Amino acid sequence: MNVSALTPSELKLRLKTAGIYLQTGSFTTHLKTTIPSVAEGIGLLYADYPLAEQDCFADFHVSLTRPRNLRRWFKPQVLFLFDGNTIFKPLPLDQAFPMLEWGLNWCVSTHVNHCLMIHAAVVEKGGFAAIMPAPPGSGKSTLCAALVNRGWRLLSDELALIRVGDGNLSLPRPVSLKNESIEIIRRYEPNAIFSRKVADTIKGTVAHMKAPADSIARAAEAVQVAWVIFPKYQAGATACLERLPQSRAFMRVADNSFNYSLLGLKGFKAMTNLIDASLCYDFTYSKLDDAIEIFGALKPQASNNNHTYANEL
Amino acid sequence: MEWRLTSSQAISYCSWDDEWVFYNNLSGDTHLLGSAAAQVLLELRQSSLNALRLTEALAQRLQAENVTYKEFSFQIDHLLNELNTLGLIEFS
Repeated sequence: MNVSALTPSELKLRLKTAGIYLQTGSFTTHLKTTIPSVAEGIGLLYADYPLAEQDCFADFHVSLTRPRNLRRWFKPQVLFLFDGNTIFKPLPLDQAFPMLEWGLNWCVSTHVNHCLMIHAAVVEKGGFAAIMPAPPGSGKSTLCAALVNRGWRLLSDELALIRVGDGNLSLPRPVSLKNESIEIIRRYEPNAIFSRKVADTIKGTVAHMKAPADSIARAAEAVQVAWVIFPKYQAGATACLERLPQSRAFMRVADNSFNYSLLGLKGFKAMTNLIDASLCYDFTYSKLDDAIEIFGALKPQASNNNHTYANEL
Repeated sequence: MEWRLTSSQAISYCSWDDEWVFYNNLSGDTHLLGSAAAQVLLELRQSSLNALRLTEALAQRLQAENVTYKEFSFQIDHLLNELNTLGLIEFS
């Protein structure tokens, strides 16, 4: 059963009482909240996500609540609770849905250490995936949103999860856009579904774009990573895809990883396999159509490079 | 005075083209090294060597004919100090 099987009032009631068991990729989140804007956001952006059986095992137990303090009468706030504990400082109530999204990212990025985690968008076409690591502000999510509206499958907007030993996991969740990117993607794909814009957050104005239903339905499909591409939006720039030596790409992906150091030798091996399987590029762009064309022309390498690898000198 | 790989260190490495990525299990650090530095580590994997013997062993392999022996020796000394600073090698 998907979230869309519940009417808005049923969803609100269930979130208020027992909570829902929301499946996003291979993770199940037990979510409770009494906040109407969160229920509305889930009804809108998570409509196509499956609900697991009530009271099943959940990877994360999350709730969003309003702190019961005096502020609730004049500047209401929202708290994100993980296993019943407060994780972050409260935010203005208006930011409740973005806080859920940021909190769910936090759940994965701090707990899923059986995977090499990279701060990156991941998209796939024809069985081959492109990992796009980048720091905030580089245009990663804008490019990702454009690609998934032009035939690429969304595996993740935020976290590339490379399972140590056997490939990567898909985590298709709403695409987080901020500031000018929101209107750029609205114009680029008028049919895209967005959450309400929320202003004055720590990231500026934010909105989330619904993940394509096909990406959610195919979340369990394995992919082969073929490209590691470092995107960079640069106003007025001609789109340029430039080969990057794999050793340099290795170090830069490690810099964008949440837990490369934590994983030790396992992380090194996973990174070696990832880089060896990938053609690596720097990509500068300013026009989304040019970017789509260049991505459409990407070809995977014929076979893995003849790299040297050894353990324990 | 001879150099050797830092004791109890299990270095893993991979390379593409002329660049090498080394993982040091003792420090948990990953290092991007050029070919010369990598060859120094690979040579010291075989046995402890002093700077002079190392220079002789690597001169041909690293095609040092375009520099004088003195310059090459200086470069090897410099590399040894750098690798020591990174905790990859030590005096034996």
